[in-house]
Amino acid sequence: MKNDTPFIHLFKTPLGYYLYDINTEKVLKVDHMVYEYLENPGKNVDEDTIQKIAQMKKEGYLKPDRVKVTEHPYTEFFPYALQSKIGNMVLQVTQNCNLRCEYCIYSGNYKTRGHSHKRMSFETAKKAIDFFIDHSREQNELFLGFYGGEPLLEFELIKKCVDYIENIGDGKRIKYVITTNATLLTDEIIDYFVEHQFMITVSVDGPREIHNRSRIFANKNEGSYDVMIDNIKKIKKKSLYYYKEYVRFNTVMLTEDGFSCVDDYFRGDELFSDSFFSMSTVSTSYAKKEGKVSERFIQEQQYELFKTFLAKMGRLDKKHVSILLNRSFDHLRKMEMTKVDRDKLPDKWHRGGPCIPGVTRVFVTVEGNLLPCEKVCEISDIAKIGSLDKGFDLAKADQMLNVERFTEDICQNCWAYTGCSSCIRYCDNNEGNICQNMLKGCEQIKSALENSQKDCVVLKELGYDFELDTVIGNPENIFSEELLNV
Amino acid sequence: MYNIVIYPYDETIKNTLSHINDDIFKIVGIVSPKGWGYYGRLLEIREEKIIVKANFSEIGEEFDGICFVNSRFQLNFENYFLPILMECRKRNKEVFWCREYDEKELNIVKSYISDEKLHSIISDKPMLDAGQMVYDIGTPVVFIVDIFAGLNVYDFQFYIYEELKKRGYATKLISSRKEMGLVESIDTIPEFLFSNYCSIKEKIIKINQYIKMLEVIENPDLIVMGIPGNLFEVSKKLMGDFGSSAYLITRSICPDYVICNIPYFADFENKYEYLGGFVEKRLETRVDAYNVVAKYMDVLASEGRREFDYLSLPMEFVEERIKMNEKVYCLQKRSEISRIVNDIIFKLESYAEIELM
Repeated sequence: MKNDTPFIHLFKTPLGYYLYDINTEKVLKVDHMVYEYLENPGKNVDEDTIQKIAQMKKEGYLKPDRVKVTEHPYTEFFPYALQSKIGNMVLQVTQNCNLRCEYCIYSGNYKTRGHSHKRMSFETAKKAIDFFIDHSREQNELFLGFYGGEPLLEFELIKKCVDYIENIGDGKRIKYVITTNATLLTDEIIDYFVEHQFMITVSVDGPREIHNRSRIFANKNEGSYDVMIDNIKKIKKKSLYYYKEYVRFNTVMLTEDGFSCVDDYFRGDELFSDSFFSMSTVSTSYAKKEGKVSERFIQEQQYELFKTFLAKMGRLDKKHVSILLNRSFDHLRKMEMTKVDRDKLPDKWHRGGPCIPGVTRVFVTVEGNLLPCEKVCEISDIAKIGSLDKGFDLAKADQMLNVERFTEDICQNCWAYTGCSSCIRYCDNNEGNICQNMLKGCEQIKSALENSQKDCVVLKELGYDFELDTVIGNPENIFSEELLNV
Repeated sequence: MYNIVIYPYDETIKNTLSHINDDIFKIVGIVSPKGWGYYGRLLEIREEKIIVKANFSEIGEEFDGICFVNSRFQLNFENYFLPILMECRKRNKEVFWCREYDEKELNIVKSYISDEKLHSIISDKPMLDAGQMVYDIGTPVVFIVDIFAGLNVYDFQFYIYEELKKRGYATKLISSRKEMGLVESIDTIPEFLFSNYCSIKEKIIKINQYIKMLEVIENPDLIVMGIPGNLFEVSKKLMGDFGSSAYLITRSICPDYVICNIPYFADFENKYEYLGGFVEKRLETRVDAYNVVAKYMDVLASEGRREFDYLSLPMEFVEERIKMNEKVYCLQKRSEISRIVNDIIFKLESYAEIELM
């Protein structure tokens, strides 16, 4: 039976009532009466409200259309892209690490592989790079990443890989990426990274007592903070330009604690205060135990986000703003700026979430297996989309691209269809039913999406322009009167 | 006769090489960066078999000059051109600069290579000294335009020109691809169109007078003109020329037949006429044929990299999905060239029926 219910999602903020029209991907401000009527369609309302709704329909909103067939729009191009358009390869050069972080997904506390002494041979690495060059004929810019365990345990292999790809990949713009705990950095390694412009991401969790709580050396019961900090200082001393442009940090937040103590530390430390940070919480994907998030953590994080907004509105000096939440704001901006212009959802489509597996990135394990990224469950069969010897398994890669097919009946009627962020990473733990695993995350995704939409509309109501990244005009009046009521 | 080496080689120059004026040039070597995937390939250019090399040291001394051409992927000037130019100077080699006009680049080239050794492909037709006047162009003109930037499909201009010539029509090709200037009797779009020192009004008048001059001197039956740039932008973050070249050219001459190159997109058959409506509005003229190019533009990837990023598709991919008709062609296929030339001739034949005096 045809579903005539408008495909919309209603939400309100202290500044007004809104509807998110899924077909057009637009957010509309509505009055209270319209909102109430759309919430309870049977309700008696005045003529004015009926007319307003009719007008919205006339202008193309409130359509009931849903996607009818699950098919990612990239599906028909996918086999060709896998042959010639890979732009990013990450080599797992080792499964070993010189640290034993409690929250690490390889710590044994997760349903994936654990630490091991397996390392990638140069033959495998060479084969991987050959595969990369062969499958990137249509790509001018290549990213080669090194991942572990701790990849610097295999620095000699990394150097060989760089020499090799610079020879066979001549003519392409090749960029190098590495994620490291920075404890093994030496003068030689730093000089090498500077020379080859490696983009490095260093894991740092906060002040000494917090960092050392989790990030402990494997061979002694001692935290890694002091060694890591000394090495970071060394990079900065060697080349300030390199440090500013190529060194980034990633912080794993322990959600049992508060947020501010870590944030204050980074903001107050000269070494970090101008740096680019990404932040994640302890992974819950395929974790054996459920993680706890303290009330204090949520409150402090939200408060910092609010301060970020105030700074964006020109109401707070940037020096007071969290550097850990920069990316949260970038996410909002991206969400606003990548909205498509459409009349309605296509009949054949796919919800948001999955990347183009293998094309967006391909992760090569020490054994030469191909996975879509380093974050999927490595022991899961579904995540393995091929091998260096056999190439891509098109059927499996396609299954991952069209992952909605597992849950399409629910997804196609979900208001978060376009903004959904769920992919195979979040739903496959090599155990249980993939469909159930996937649906477990839905409420959280919807809640995060709705909060983002609320943040966006409030900022826009207050005069913030996402494209220009500044406030338009003078929001003085609305700011003082209405924001006080928020 | 110059013995030349082509650099940097990729598939976009491949077909042009077989038509280079052999009274002037003999290709003795082809060099392509190793990572582009052509290294070691055996190419047949006219009767000659040439293996693609990865660097000049593999070529030896048996060449007089290097012909620098455009490529699909951009190379860093300092790393990939400057050292070769320095070597040219040291070894007293000729330089044929056929890359797109970039004043900054060309000035660097000029600072390394003396005037007598540097040959730049420019349209050197004498201009009419006709002041502020635009002329009626009596010769039928075929325009070939790209809807989006970065499509790199210049070969069709040449194939259409070649087919028309084969059928006995005196045809003049004005190509939007610089390297076509290496082919005998083919002109390239004059540089003043891109000049910063010429007003819009002057450009429009000069284009008109340039075409009129060709008509007067060469008296062709037909002019085929590749329009530089693109008609539309696909994104707010990724820009071509906003249709500015097409605008200038359509102000100075009226085309008699228009072919629009469009990359493949899903549901093409149902949407191309709708899209064509916009194309016609932009050009302010009727579009006679759409050429579906077997390439798919990934807008998100293009935006991310800030360069036009197409995925090449096999020709069969397009053929399986799109039914060709009197307006839709797939010119990658040689039989389609013949079909579109039939259509051009059919439509332009009516010109001969009514003779205006």
